[in-house]
Order: sequence, then C-alpha cells, then structure tokens
Amino acid sequence: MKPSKHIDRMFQESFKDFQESPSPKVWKGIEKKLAEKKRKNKIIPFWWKAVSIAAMLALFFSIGFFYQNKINTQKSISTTTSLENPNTGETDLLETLTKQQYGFSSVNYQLLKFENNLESLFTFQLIIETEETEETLREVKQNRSGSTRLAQSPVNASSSISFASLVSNSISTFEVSKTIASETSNSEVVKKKSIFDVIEEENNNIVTVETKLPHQWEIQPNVAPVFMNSFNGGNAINEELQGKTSSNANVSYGVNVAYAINKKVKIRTGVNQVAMGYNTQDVILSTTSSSFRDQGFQSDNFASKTSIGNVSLINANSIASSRNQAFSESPLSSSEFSSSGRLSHELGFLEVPLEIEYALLDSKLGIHILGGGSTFLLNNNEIFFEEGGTSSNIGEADNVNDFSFSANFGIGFDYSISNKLSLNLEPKMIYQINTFQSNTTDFQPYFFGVYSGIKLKF
Amino acid sequence: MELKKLIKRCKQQDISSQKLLYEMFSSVLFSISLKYSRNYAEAEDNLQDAFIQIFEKIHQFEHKGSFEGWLKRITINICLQRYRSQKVFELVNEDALQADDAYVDDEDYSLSFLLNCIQNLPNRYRLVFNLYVLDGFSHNEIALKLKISEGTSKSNLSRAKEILRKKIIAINEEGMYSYKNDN
Repeated sequence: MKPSKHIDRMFQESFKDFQESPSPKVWKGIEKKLAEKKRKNKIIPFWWKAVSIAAMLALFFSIGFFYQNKINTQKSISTTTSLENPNTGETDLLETLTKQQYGFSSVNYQLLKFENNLESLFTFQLIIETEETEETLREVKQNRSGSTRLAQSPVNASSSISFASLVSNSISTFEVSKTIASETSNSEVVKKKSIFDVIEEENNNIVTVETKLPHQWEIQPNVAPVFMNSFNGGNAINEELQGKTSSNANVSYGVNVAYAINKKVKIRTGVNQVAMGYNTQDVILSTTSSSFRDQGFQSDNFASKTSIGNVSLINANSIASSRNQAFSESPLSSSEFSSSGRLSHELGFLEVPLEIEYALLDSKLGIHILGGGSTFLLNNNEIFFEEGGTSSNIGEADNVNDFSFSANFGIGFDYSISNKLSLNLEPKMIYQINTFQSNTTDFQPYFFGVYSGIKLKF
Repeated sequence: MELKKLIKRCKQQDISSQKLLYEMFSSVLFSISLKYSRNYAEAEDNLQDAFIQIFEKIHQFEHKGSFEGWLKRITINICLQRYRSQKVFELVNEDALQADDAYVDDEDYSLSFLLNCIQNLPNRYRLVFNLYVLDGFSHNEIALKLKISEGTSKSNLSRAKEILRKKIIAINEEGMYSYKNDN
C-alpha cells in the first residue's frame, strides 16, 4: 500500500512555489484600460470646471436680472404715484408737456424757416430801401429845390412806412417767435426738471423709508465642505480601535433665513443637510459567536446588518502583537492575508441651527461674528469596511442619538454686490454635544465647515 | 528601483512604472488568479481587472504591511466578487459533512492536473478551498468575505475536499499517468 498524505498538505506543497506568467495580451488590455481612464479623467474635470463656471455665471446673471427687473418696476411705480399723489394735475401736465415739446419742435422748425425767409426778405427790402431812400433823398433835394416834392413824398413815405412797419412787424414777429421759442424751451427745461425733481424726491423718499426700515429679512442658500474630527481621537464604535482617525471631506448644504432685530444684531435659523464621516485605520473584521456577545466581551457599539450574524471589530495592532508572540513559529500563519482594513463611519444629519449674528463691520465688506446652537436629526448612519479595494456595508452604529445638539460659533464675511445682494463666506466650527449616547464612547466629534453662499435681502 | 519609489511613481500614474510593477508581480498574482478562476481565460480577465484596481487604489496603500500581500488581497477579492454571487445548491446537510479524513496516495501529481481539479470545483467550493487550504484564511474570515456563515464555509470545504479526493483516487485507479508528472 502506498503511503497516504493529507489532501491539504498535498495541495499546499504542490502550490507553494506556483507561479505562471500570463500572456502578453493581459498587459495590453491593462494598458488600454489605463489610457482610457486617463483620457476620461482629463475630460471630466475640464467639463466639470466649464459647467460649474457656466452654472455660477448663470446663477449670478439670473439673480442680477431678476433683481434689476424688480428695481425697475418699483421705480416706475414710484414715479407714477409721485405724479398722481402730490399734484394730481401733473399727469395731465406730463401729457401736455410731451405734446408741447413735440409741438414746439415743429414751431421751432417753422420759425427757423420763417427766420430764413425773413432774412432774405429783409436784405432784399433793405436794398430796396436804400435805393428808395437814396431816391427820396434826391427827390427831397429836388423838392427842396423843385416842385413835385409834395406829390411824390407821401407815396415814398407811405412806402417807406409800409416797409418799415413790415420790417418792424416781421422783426417783432421774429422776436416774438424767438421769445416764444426761448420761453417754451425754458419752460420745457423747467418742466423737465420738475419731473426729475419729483423722481429724485421720490427716490429720496424711498431711501429715507429704507433708512427707517432696513431689509429685515435675509435668505441665504449655502454650501460648505465639512471636515469632521474628534477631540479625543479614537473611534465611536469601538474604543479599542486606536488606529489613525481621519475625516472624510463631506458636504453640508441648505438654506438659512435671518431676521434683523436691529442694524447690528440678526437672529437666524434654517435647514441644512450635513453629511459627514470619519475613517479609522488598522481594523480587522471578525465574526463572533453570539455567546461571546452575551458574556459581555463585546464592546462594539454597532448593529451588524450582514447576513452572517455578529461581526466584531478588532484593533489590528493589538492582534498583530499578540500574533507575533503566540504564533511566530506557526508555519501556516495567515498573517499575510489577515488584512487590516479601514472602517468608515458615514453619518448624515438634518441640521436646524438657531444662531445670533453680530455685525462688527457693516459696509461694502461686512464682518460679523456668530454664535448659537443646532439641533441635529440623524438621517443616515452606516458603517463600511474597506479592505483590499472592496468596500462593504457591515451595519450601523447603535450609539448615535436620533436627536443631538451642538454649539456653533464662527465668523462671517459679506461682500455686498448691491444693497439687496451679497456674497457670503463663513468659516464655522460646530461642537457636537451629544451625538453619541453617553458612556458609550469618549469620541467627541466636532466639525468645521467653510460655508459660502449668496445672501438675498428683502 | 526601490519598491517604495516604484509605488510612488505608480501613484503618480506613470505608465512605465506601472508596467514595471506589473512585470514584477504578474506571475505571482496570475498564479492566484488561476487557482480562484474556472479556467485560463477567466484567470487572465481577473488578473487584468485586479491590476486595474491596483493602479486605481494604489494611493490608498500606506506602506503598512507587505505590499505583495496587499496586491494578493486585491486579486483574491476581484475573484471573489466574480464568483461568490453564483449560488451553489446545498443538497447536503451542512453539519453532516465535518469528517476530515481526506487522505490521498502520496505521489507526485502534476501541477496542471491539480490546478484543473481545483478549477473544476463548483464556484463556492473552489473559493473556500483556496481561501482556507492554500491561502490560510480562517473560516471566520471566509464567512465575512463570502457573506456566508462559518458553518457553510466548513461544509463547503469538506465537500470540496471530497470532490478533489475522489478525482485523485479516480486518476490513480484508472492509471491515467498522462496527468502525472513526467519525471
């Protein structure tokens, strides 16, 4: 009979140094896919940038357009009211004035024509006159000396008179028309001025009203990258996990509404969706039997959702050290593969802040400080275990409170584009008070967000 | 080139460094892929996917533990992802098959024969056998990886061994020495 061998050992020995080179087409495939990904990566950021810039511009312009339209309609309303309110007759005046203006321009044109005619007539008549006067002078001389003086002189005189009267008439009419023209133009200016005055006055009235009652309400859509961290480090799920904790870069977005109590102080609230999370390195995932759990060996604060039942988390460093001590001589140690992975805890909250804002500087560039608190409603709680390039959802933390509170403080900068619109930047620190149930963890989270948005005042 | 430098270059997506890394580790990783896959063609596909993922995730490698181990884990996970979803009909009571008496004649069987035996196992049996016997994972770890219970893992292993043992015995009895090593 042939000697027998355990099948495990037989396979282990056979495959111990097993290596085989793949065909060259594998690398070609990899190279092709990598090139494709590179191209995609290059294209996507470019498009994203272009799209985001376009979206920002569109947003600003649309707000600007909306805002401008609003101002125009408001102004036109104010002028009509001004015309109707203080002097009810002025609307008619406006109509007549515009008519007059129109009429005057035609009068002016006619006057100009008349003037030209008159000038030509005048020079012509002057020439005649000089000729005639010369003649009459001669005649007068003749009459002085001669006989026909009386007979001719009345004719000359009448003609000269008629001429003179004509000239004087024409001049007077010219002058009259000129005075009319100047008068009308003057009156036009005066009337025009009066309209502008009214508008200006009305504007002033608006301004004065505004100074009395500033924009009391502000609405501010905002978005912020948020970074979660803990004062004590560690992990909220299992205190034994002491690996490096790092925050995921997450995002908060929402809308704030502020009410100005006076020029300096505003009270504000809103709704924000906050997504945050943190990663803990050096974690080993392991299944444990339920008996262990019952005996209280388990200090995990999480509920496993996996189909395999209870899962526990182990600090990779402690395992590694114990393994080194106990199994260093074991030929078949699984240390190469018993991989430590990364535990990722994702949390989502609906945040309702209540904050007070105090203005330090209130000009084109405004600076304010703010303080207050927020109420958090838990709406996402997931734990992922990432290892060897794969990530799987392993459950949720059961020590996160559904309701929690925070203390908030920050500083804000406003850059006003107009008196109704301003850009806003607000670094804010949010210290979470009872996110995790008391006595379950030392993990004391806080998060820091740089909120930016557009403030609309009304 | 020092491995650390090579990894750094690969993180910067330098294609020549990526090729160098591939040349260094492709044989080791291909052997894993061959064991976990059903055939040569699928093993090549899986190796390709593994390297794509390696180059994608290499920025996550923080020089904790062995780099080769990290590469092997990714390769194994790629194969597991591909085959673990395919269900195996559990016709046998899981607890009934716990006997661990799978002994075979001590002979030099050819590697290609043994590989062929493994590749022809049903998906889950193959994965469990590879993970437990050849790569030293515990039933606990296998249960987590395959999203099955530890009991299932154990019974799958027994079934796998039983199938392998029968195949090897059959070879010996039929005297098909073409499968055996020539030397």
